[in-house]
Amino acid sequence: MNSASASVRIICIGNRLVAGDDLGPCVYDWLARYPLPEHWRLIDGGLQGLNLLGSVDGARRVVFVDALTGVAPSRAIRVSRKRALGGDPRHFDHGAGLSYLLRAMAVGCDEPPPAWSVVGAAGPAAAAVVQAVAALALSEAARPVRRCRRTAARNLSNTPG
Amino acid sequence: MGVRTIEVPLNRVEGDLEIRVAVADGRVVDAWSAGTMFRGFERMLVGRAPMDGLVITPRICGMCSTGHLYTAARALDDLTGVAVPPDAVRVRNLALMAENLQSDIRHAFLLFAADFANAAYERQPLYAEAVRRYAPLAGSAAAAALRESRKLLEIIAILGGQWPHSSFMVPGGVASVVGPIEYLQCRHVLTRFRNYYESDVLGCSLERIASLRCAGDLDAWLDEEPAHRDSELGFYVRFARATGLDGIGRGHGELISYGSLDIPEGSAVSAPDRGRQLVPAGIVGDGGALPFDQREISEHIAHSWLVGYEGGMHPSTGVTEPYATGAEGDRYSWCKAPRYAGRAAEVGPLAEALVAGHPLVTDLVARHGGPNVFVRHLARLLRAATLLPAMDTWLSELGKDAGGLVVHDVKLRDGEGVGLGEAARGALGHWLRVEAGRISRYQVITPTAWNGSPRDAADVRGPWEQALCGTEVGDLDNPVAVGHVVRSFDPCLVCTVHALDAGNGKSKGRLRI
Repeated sequence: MNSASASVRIICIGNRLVAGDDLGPCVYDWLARYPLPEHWRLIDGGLQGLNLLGSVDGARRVVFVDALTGVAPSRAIRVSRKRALGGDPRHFDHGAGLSYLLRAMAVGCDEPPPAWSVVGAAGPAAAAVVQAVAALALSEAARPVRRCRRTAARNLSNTPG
Repeated sequence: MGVRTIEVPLNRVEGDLEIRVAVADGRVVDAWSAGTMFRGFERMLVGRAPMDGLVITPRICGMCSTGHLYTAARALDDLTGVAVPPDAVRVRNLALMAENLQSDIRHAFLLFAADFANAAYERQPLYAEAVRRYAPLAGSAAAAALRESRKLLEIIAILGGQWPHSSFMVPGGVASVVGPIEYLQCRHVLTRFRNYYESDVLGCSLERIASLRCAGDLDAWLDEEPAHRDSELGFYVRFARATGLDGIGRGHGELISYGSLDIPEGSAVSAPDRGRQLVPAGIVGDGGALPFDQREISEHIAHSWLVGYEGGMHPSTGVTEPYATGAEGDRYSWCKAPRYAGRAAEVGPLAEALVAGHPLVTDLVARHGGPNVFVRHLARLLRAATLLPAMDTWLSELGKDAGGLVVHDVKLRDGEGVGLGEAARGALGHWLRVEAGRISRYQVITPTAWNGSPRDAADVRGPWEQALCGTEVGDLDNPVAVGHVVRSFDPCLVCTVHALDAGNGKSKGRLRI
């Protein structure tokens, strides 16, 4: 199944060559061992940044998996929308990161932007942490999408999608 | 005189370029462009198999990776002497053109024009409209640029498998397995982009824009239809004139195009100079127009943190040996200083247009006594009028040639090869030497190396160092004009700009503009 027809997508981002930024790729490697439900797709987002708009477009729900900072280490965490959209991600540059992509999804997709969430953990990508984050990612991906019309404004709000 | 340090947020890894600007009496009196990160791609390639350059060099950059692949493949073509089949030339060209165009609109509406929404222009009558169009992530033009640039890149993914960092161009052609279905998919993508460009960016057809031949024609076009004035191009002309962008950023006035986009035999596409490339090669400057000879290129390191040699060396003989202890005196950059016949020269869409004899651009440069921010960026917006019709024609011609997409069993051999082209930001070159079946030397000169070059052995400033001189800095806390000058070159890296007092040379901190 290609990404275009998958309504649920788990996108693991980060740099597998950099300790502290390799959680996403490690979760990808873990999840890639197992079959996923129909219409789900696991994507190795790497360092693609804004290019991930293509991997997001057409999805109904997207879960991003990323290494975190500023939180207690070794705990799988679902990042609040406020935190995920935080900072000053307005500028298109290599420092913009995931927060820029999340905001760009509202205006840069042809299809209505998907419901999204961000999960991850801080600290080393130890096996137990990777499995815990992977489990949280699957749980998030399985959440039903609300049947009301998704709007760009809602996706930028703090209301859980 | 006060001292301020200014950050200019641009793309690429943050912090690998710094610009220091000395300000006296409200004007820039000197500037230094410092590459602050050594990446060493050329050194990575030494000892590797010749084909490794096709995988490694596209990873020099995530915005112009196709440009690097194009030139790396051409260097191998040159090494082997292989003739690339016409359809493979078309596929390579289409991919490069798609990358250049998407880069142009991302730069124009996400980077360059974002400065028009700077608070420095709050009293400007056009400010409210600028915010509506270009506010980051909220402006209408910014949102459209995100959508349309992403879609256009699908052409490269269709033809080459992925973007960025594809490796489908090989010596002798392309490794793509594509045919009528893929060409039709590309046609849909191209049609969509052309519609966007004509309706939103130009407000008129590509043919209408191409018919403008002088400043008077541009003025008449602007007032001809509301759609023209309301287009992105129309707004840019109005805003640039209102804010004096045509009076800053001259630089040295020397410009180079390496030439790019070979025209396949039998193609209906014609070059402006009746030559064999859609984008001709040449030099323009105070000495007039001259033919281009890559043997005249040299790289200086007098002000670079590299092991020393005197003067400049041609990339086929030069080396890249980093050396820095922090006590190198007036050395201030990891970048070399490329020079042509000993002269600093800028590259990019403006250079391409002037070398090609674009009438409107030529007239505007002549009227202002040289380049400036306004015409440098205008040339970028006008480039699509040259590229899109050719893309349309080449896409129509694909599949009708019996030569296939690749020459099989190309024999790599020892020797030298040169690959030249015009990437999104301008002239890009790869120089390759193979000995005993391994790369023994590999040198890359990027467009930003030309434009952002440090001083050379004669202490001549690089192009944007020179272009910054004379720039009025009305508000030291928000020197937006400095950002205009640097961004008019479309640098492919994040730039931190420091403003220094011309007297005491001290820096107070960082400002984001």
